[in-house]
Amino acid sequence: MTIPAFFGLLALLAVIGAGGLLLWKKPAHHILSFLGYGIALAGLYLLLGLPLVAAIQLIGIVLSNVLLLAINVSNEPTKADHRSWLWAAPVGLILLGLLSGLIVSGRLGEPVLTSIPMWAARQEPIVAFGQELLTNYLVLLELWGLLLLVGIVAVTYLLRE
Amino acid sequence: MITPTHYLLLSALLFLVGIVVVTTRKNSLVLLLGTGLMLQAAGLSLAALTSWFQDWNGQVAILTIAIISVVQLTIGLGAILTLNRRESLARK
Repeated sequence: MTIPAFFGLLALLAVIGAGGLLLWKKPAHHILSFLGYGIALAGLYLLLGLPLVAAIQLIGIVLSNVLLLAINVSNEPTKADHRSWLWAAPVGLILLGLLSGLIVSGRLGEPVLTSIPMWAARQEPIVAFGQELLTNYLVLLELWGLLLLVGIVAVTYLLRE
Repeated sequence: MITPTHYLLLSALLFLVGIVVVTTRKNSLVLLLGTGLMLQAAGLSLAALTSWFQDWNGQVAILTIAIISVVQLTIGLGAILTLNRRESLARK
């Protein structure tokens, strides 16, 4: 598959995921559509040659959505719908196939905008970005950690019994 | 060839959908997801321009947005659960 085809598919998935928040009725479906939206965005970041951002996006979105799903399911117990496997399994397989295709084709680090040679000339962009984070952006890195800590403490305080 | 314009248009469309979600839906969880949707759409436009201009500041801004999005989702969910719990206790 070419990069425009990947972009088209991922953009379509992102729009469907965003539109699901308007169309679906059940909260669990909203969370699943947001999860699909987050995964599509991670794929778009990969196409732009930003693998670190894509990885962090995947980790953050997937973990937070799984948490939302677990809490939602525990609050609204419903009967298991075995027919949903009929459409959920193919969608999951298609997503897995897309991601595997991106990885196998070796296009993970290849930026879409190849007209600018400086970006493509970087041998190890993740290593260079890591060095930048730990030197020029060290204070910001610490602030990120502090923000996450504040979030954890806030949630722990809110949910205390 | 895919240009930054494609990404910016997609980002604008997703941001618009987020605005519609926030203004039309009443469910608090969907409101949270709508704000997260808008934040992620802004991050996508930053990512397109970062790749174009090859500026590290863009990646740093995207990571900041991603972290803020996750934190607001988590704290918002905690607040919703707390309010639901107090509401159910008040009904009893």
